[in-house]
Amino acid sequence: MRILEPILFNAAYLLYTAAMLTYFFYAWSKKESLSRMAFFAVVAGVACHVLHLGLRAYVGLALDQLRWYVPWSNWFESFSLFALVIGITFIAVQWSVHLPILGVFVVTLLWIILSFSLTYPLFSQWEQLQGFSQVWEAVKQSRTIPQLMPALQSYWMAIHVPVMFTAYASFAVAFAVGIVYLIQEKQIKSKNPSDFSQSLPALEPLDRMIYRLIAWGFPILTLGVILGARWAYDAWGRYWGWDAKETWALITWFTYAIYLHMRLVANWRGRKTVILSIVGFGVVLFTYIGVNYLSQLHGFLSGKGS
Amino acid sequence: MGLNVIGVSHRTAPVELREKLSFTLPDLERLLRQESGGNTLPEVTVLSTCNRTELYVASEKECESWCLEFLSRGAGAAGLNPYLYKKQERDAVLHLFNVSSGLDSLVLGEAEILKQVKDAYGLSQKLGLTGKLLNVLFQRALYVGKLVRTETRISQGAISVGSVAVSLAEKIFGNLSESAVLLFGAGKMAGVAAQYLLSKKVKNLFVANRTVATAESLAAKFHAQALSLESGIAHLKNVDVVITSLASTDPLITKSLIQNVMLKRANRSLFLIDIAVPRNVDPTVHEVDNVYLYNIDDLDHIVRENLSRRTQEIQKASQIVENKADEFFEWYRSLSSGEEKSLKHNTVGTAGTEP
Repeated sequence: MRILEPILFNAAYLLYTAAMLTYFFYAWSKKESLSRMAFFAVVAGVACHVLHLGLRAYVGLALDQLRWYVPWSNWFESFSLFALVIGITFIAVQWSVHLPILGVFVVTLLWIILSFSLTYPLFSQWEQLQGFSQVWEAVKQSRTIPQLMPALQSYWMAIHVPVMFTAYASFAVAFAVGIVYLIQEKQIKSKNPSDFSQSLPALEPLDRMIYRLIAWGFPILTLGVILGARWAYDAWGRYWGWDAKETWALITWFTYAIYLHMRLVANWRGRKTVILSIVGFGVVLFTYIGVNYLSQLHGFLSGKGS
Repeated sequence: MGLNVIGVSHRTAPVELREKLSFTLPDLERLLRQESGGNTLPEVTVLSTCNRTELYVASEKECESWCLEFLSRGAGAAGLNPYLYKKQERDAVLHLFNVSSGLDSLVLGEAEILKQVKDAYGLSQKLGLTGKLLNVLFQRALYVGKLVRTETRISQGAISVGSVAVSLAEKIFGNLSESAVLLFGAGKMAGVAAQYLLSKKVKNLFVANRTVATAESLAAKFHAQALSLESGIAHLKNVDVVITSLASTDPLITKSLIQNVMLKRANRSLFLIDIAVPRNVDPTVHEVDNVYLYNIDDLDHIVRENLSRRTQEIQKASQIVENKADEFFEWYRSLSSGEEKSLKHNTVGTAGTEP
């Protein structure tokens, strides 16, 4: 079991890599068969990834006897979960609206996040590492199952985090679709669309897709923040304390609330709202990653948290 | 055995002659039945379009005089000789493959020719005029035609103003079946544009004109709704694609009008195509968010660009055609020598063009 767990992760990583490259070839050659292969690789990657997570939970809970362990408690696991939920969201989007070219953007984003999960330990200790073997050791080290700090030993951990990631993943996909929108909009406004424009989807369906992703992610984000507040009460004895993470979660919430307001009430559409959704994802990333270096309480991932 | 092609095309004959030699499929069927009534015909397929009329003949005997006779009788004219081209064996194969690939077409890479080759072959097959050689040759030609179009970009990109407008509209709205179209002006250009958009089954079509009666006659042709200019302007808030072709010196559609319209339509995208000269739409309208304005020059420019992109693919396409002609010719020679080689359908056979 212990041997199988990293193998499954590697398999998922390889499948995502293959999917991304196949999507690039698809964008270049426009052969439908390639897009089907790439999508199949994403589905297979997600399947391996889910199995990996399940197995990791089993190893942590049953073999290591860690009572509160969930497989999303350090940087590596958390990025890995983020990537997985993006993969699932992508599959759901492809099932409802068949636009394979989006794979080029979404799967690349997924791949970057997952690659980051593997390499982040290198950033902080790059100077101490010498030679490939030490680098590899550091990567392996970061993939071992961690002990949970006391504040995280709660069943809320199993609920709050996946809910937040579900919301984040839909914002991530909305971000990737937004990039596609801006490229296509620029192409058509230029009055001289290039060949590339031909292979991108039309503007209005893209705009609708971004709206639907955010309209789906926003209530889930709201739920996640409320659950977080409830957990904060259990852990620290108060619902809200203007900790950096809490503050930034609120800023994220407001950014997407503004998006929805502008779109539904002020009738904004197209480029302006798309830029809002892209800014929104920037805020998400800061809340998720940047804040760990600011927050005293939520710095679980940077080792600062208490 | 001998493989021959004899015929005229837009490269060799003026339109007056091509018109006379252009047979519809039922015409051809009648002509060929008449011919085969008395005597035995060679293996023959006749390809006739508005740009070419060609006879492909596989025969061991001399057949040129029969071909000439067939053509002159069909056209009801003699003196075709200066306009004719005659190609034999490998050149004939190469010619047919070039034709089916759209490399010999007036509009480079056009797709219609592939269907015309298929129909021509289908007819002579039905009449029992094809043998092994022509069967394999024509199936091969259809395959090469498809191959060239998938392996190169010779038939990609719209190359008429109307189809460019349609493909732009599809890049803004996606499927046009939910879109409404409004024409300002009921002239010939408006009619042509409407034709293209209707081929995409748009939801609604409106025709607005100064004289409503003229609008009505165009509207009746397309099952559209006729409007006065004023109600046309009022309809701007409901439609997605607007085509203007009014003879007018003052711009009909100004920036402030469009800004107003965009408020009313909750900023849904609006595509304006201005084919009028002088222009009907103020060019600054393009600056408004979610509004896309293309005038006739913009569309023309895209057409020229797409054409030149196709032209850049000629070499690659010709290479495929050459290779496939060689392959076929090898098979053809092996057939005459009695040791038939196999002819595969699956290889591209263009060294260096595929990764």
